[in-house]
Amino acid sequence: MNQMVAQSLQGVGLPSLAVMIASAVWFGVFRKHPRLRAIGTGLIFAGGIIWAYLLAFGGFAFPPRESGQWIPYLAGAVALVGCLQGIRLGLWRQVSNLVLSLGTALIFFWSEISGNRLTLVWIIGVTVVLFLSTILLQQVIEDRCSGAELSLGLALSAGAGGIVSFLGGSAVLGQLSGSIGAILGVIAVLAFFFNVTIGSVLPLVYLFIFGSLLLSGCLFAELPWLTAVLLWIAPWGLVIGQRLDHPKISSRAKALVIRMLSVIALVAIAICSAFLLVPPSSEL
Amino acid sequence: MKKHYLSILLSILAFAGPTVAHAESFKIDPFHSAIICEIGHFGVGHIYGRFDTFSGTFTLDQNDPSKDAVNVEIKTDSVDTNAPKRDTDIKGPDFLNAAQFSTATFKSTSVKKIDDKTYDVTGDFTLRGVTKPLTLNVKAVGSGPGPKGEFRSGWEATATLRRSDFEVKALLPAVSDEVSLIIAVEGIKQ
Repeated sequence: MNQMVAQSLQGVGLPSLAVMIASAVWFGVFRKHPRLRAIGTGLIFAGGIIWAYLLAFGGFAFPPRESGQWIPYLAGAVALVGCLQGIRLGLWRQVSNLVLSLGTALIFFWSEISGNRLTLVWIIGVTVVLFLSTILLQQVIEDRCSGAELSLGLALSAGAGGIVSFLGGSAVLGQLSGSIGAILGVIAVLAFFFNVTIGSVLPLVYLFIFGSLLLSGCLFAELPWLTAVLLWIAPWGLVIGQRLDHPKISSRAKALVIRMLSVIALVAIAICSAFLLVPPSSEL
Repeated sequence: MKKHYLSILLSILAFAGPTVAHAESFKIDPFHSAIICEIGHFGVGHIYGRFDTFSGTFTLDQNDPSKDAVNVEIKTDSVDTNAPKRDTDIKGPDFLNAAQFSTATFKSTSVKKIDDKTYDVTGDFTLRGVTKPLTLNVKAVGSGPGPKGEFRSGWEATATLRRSDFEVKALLPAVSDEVSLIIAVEGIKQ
């Protein structure tokens, strides 16, 4: 078991360490340039995901034949689109989000599209959920949250995604999701100490990659849909957390913890649901 | 007169010759066949599993082994390692990804006779959408009439593949890269 643990720690630790160093430099240099900081954070996050994918899956497949093999390419593409969104706002942002949502849905269902109406329903459903999520996460949470709050909320959800994916029978999806959680965790710590926002590129990359991981877990492994839905909506708990704010709470750390309460509650329910619906086993 | 009999005998042999030499087709009888796989576990032991659902055909030409052919299709979601949770993991995205790739196939491309009972059958093995050449070491077990009078031919093949060649890289090296296969079949002549 030590070998597996060491491998997983390496898979989670190395990308997180690299992201921590790169983000610290980037936050330090562009502390007063929010647009450049957002672009850099998004690209560093996407780079971390791609490295974590390489360590979890053992290599890239080109051309990709199955949905999971699209993840590194999707991370790169979403990060680049997110950077362009920082330059051109307005309608372009929504159109590009819709294209990314449709593209992600097609990655999963393209091979089954011929003459299958149910597949079309899936494509439309996944596209709508992803598109609405981009609007909600990018506009609602991003505008109201600090960089530390947002990235910690996403980190909790992704980290829990790692646990439930592992329970659901996929060590690889679990490792990748756990890596994303750890990467977001270090970004949260840095964003807290530098007291900076993280912009809209990182949440966009998170949405499409974590969405793909949850969808892979539900469709191809044994991840329960209920657990996936709870983890998907967990970051929106930040909005509820803000309503719990009290004017007397002056400490940033205390405010952060209070704002996280709803996210932590949703994540805890999600993990419990996974343990109840897919009991752990050591049969591997 | 003797010459006349000889010419009749030669005519009969000439007529009978092609019927003896023609290729015979067999359909794999799944009830008397098995596909077993073996994989190393943490370097301390081996896990054995079997695929319960498969089908296939083979063609035998006694006079010309180069005309022999083998086709096998295995349902990937039929893997059974006597541990349901592990089976779920093996069918999942880390290993066979049965939801996206429901079959693994072997289609022979060449047959090389080693001796009267042993052949090397090389073919294209497709697993998880990746096709690579694979050579089966095939041994004849026996042939003859079955319980219902049907003609049966039995064979046993072994092969070793590297799962990483098929982009199945999860849990390497804790779960070994090399996977051994035993394919034991009885075919019913068609």
